[in-house]
Amino acid sequence: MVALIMLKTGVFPRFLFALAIMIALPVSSPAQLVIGQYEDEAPLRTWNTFGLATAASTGRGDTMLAQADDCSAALSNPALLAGLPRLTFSLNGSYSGSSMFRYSIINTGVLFSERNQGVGVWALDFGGISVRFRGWTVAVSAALSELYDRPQAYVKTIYGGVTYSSLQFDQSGFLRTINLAIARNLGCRFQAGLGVNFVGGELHRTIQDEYFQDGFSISQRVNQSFSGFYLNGGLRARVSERFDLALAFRTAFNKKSSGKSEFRYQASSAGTDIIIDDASDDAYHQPWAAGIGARYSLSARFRLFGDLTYFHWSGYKVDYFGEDERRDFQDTFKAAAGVEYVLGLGLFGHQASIPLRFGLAYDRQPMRSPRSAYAIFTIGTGIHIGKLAFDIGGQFGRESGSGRRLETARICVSLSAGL
Amino acid sequence: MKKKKTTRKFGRQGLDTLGKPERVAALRLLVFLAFCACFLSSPSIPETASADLDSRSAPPEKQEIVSVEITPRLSAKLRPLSLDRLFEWEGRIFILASQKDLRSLDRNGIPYFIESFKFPALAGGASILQGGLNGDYHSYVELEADLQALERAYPQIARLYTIGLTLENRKIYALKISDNVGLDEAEAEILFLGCHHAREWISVEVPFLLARHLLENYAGDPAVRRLVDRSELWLVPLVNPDGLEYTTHFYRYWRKNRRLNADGSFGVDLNRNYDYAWGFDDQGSSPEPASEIYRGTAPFSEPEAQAVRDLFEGRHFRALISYHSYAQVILYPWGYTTALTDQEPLHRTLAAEMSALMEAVNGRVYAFGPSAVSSYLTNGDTTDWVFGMSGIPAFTIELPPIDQLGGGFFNAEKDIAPIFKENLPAALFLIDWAISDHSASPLRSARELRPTGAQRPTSVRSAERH
Repeated sequence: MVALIMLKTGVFPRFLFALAIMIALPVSSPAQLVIGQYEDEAPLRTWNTFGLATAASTGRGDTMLAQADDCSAALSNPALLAGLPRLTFSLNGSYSGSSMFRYSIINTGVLFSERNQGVGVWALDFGGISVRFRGWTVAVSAALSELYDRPQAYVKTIYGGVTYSSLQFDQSGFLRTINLAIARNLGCRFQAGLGVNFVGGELHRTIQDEYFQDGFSISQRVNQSFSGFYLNGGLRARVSERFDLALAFRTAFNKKSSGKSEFRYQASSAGTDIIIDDASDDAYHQPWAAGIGARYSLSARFRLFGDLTYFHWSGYKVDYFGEDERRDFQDTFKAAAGVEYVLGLGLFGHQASIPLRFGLAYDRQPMRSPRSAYAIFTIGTGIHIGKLAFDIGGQFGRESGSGRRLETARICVSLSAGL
Repeated sequence: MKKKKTTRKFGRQGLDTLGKPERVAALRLLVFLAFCACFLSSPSIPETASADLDSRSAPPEKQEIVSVEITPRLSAKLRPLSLDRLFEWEGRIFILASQKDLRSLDRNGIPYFIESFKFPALAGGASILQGGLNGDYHSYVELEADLQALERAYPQIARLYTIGLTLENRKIYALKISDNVGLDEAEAEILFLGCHHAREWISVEVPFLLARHLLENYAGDPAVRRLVDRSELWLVPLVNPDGLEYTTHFYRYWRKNRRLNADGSFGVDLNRNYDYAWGFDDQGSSPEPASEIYRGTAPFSEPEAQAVRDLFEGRHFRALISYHSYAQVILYPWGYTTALTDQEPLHRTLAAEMSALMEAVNGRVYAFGPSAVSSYLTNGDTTDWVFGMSGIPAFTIELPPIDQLGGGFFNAEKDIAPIFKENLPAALFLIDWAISDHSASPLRSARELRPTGAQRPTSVRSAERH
């Protein structure tokens, strides 16, 4: 299995915090702490993760329920695996970025920022292989399905040229999914597939306060490791020569967390070292999700795609270090539509094709307040020579509802080879 | 589900005498037993403020852990009895005993020691939830559960009230302790407050443990019984629940409540929000919302301070202690000025006695004096308001450590019990004093008690309001 790696970068502005009083921010929400989009456990970019969009589907507005581009179909709709070449390898690398305004100690009372802050992560985020044997298609794949990174903060307080104190915040983490899927053609019109998914990951958060002149420091650390298991599956039906309809689901599951926390006060000159720590087994009850997808071929070269995915977020529960955390979530959905036009050409004596992709998506986030949704614009292209496909896709999302105009970005490059 | 922290529930000193395998086995056994006992003895949660005494379910039968010396003679006597034997340790057998079992032991002439105090998780009102991010300190949920458990365990002498809601819709609880707790009797009323400031975790524990001490010892300690019978004690261990939660989940050194201010900053210093000399100057409080001592937009602008105000104004309290940390000092009015009150001798006498009682426990010295003189200027704080409005003795006790390098707002978990124990006699003393004072002049009202030299500086307040 391919290893999945991450590289966190600073493409969005980082380290740009100031201990300053904000001026005349609009205050319309009730005077209580609503983190909204970026609770500590919120995935980067969106709460609504369902499968993993590789480059081709990213370019089509994240439509992936009715069209198999590569082995990543195992994560969204395993039924589609039955339509892949007999042996298929797929890899995907991506950059995921997001801006955020309110998270952890940022803009919740401790550190203030007038501008949104951003973070970006490079990752080899998908690898998989599928094999068809006697009518059955079996796939094994691994995906970096969620990222928990946050923009770092490092602030120094300086009086008269002397550094008095510093405050550092850092959070990073990920969730990895290992998927085993099986699919089969049922007659000439139907495909069905089922997958088992094992998730694992981690989250690390550190807040470090140093008071250099006073000679003491305070730190808070939380380290969590995640594990879990769920099923996913789907169907695809050939309604007509031009029209395919697909259904897919993911079961609810407990993302189990084994966590350790530590509060620490140190004043080495006085010999004071106080640690308040704990270990806890908790769970994030992730919601089930289901979607319907469609593909319509206007011609051999021109196709339309649409996905509608529903997320049962009202069933989301968080048990965090032994206590239920309040999340005022409601069920939500993500709607996506895309088009693909394929240009044919000869390249070094081979017949090649260049897909041109465009898509739009509306991604409603689950928080009741503030209401928040992303409008996403995507484009993509690639080159396919025989059964070798190289694709690139990108998307840009702009949030509305929170008043902060948060942004997301994702760029994917994928390589898929079939035999 | 939590794990690993359970060793904190038991007397470490005793268990340390066991070998490691035995200790682990004993701990596992005790964890199991304590949890089982807690769950088995949990009746349904009653309504807090409006429930009637008579409508409550009967309290669960109290169980005790007792130990009996292992001798051939006693073992022979124990054998035919159907008892829930736990384990053997240092030549004694430990038994989980119901009241019926205890009578059985008595009838058979089997001497035993009650060991329940070594197993806090079994005791009435003890938390089965503690642990979590903040270790042995209470979170809001843990405190809520513990206060409800105390009310359930001692329904005749404890009643839990919700005195207000916070900005984030958490309940602010007040536990009333008295005989005939459902009645409003003409007895001395004393108020204990904790955790105006979110990061002062120890200030939750002291009033909570005081409540637990009073309730658990009511039946067996005549001195405690006398105090409870002759007074009405009100304990609000957590005035600032929203702030406390922020300190555990986000930033340990958060001080204020969680008000989202107009400029985007967060928090009002609840101990600068009371309506006496509010905003007297910008030294004792700040008009800047981002300041750690921001006094709010108006006196009692904050629901947490309003909750304390409403409780106070609805009763006739004779004395007050508001717990804070750190500095190890007993403060009394005034905070807004260095001028002395006309009750200075009384305050000084009471504070001196409390300080002496505290020092006698662990040798830790608590200084004492007028707040502005002994500490720093504060305006709009609890004790100035309480004294200014009613003239009763009002104390801020700044709990240990004595300085920042000793831990500042951090106290080690193992220090919770010692700090409570040294504060216990001072609290009992003040209760006793209030009872005596009430007996001496039972008909005095709060209005009559208002100090002659403590006129409210209304001009300042008016100026601030504009």
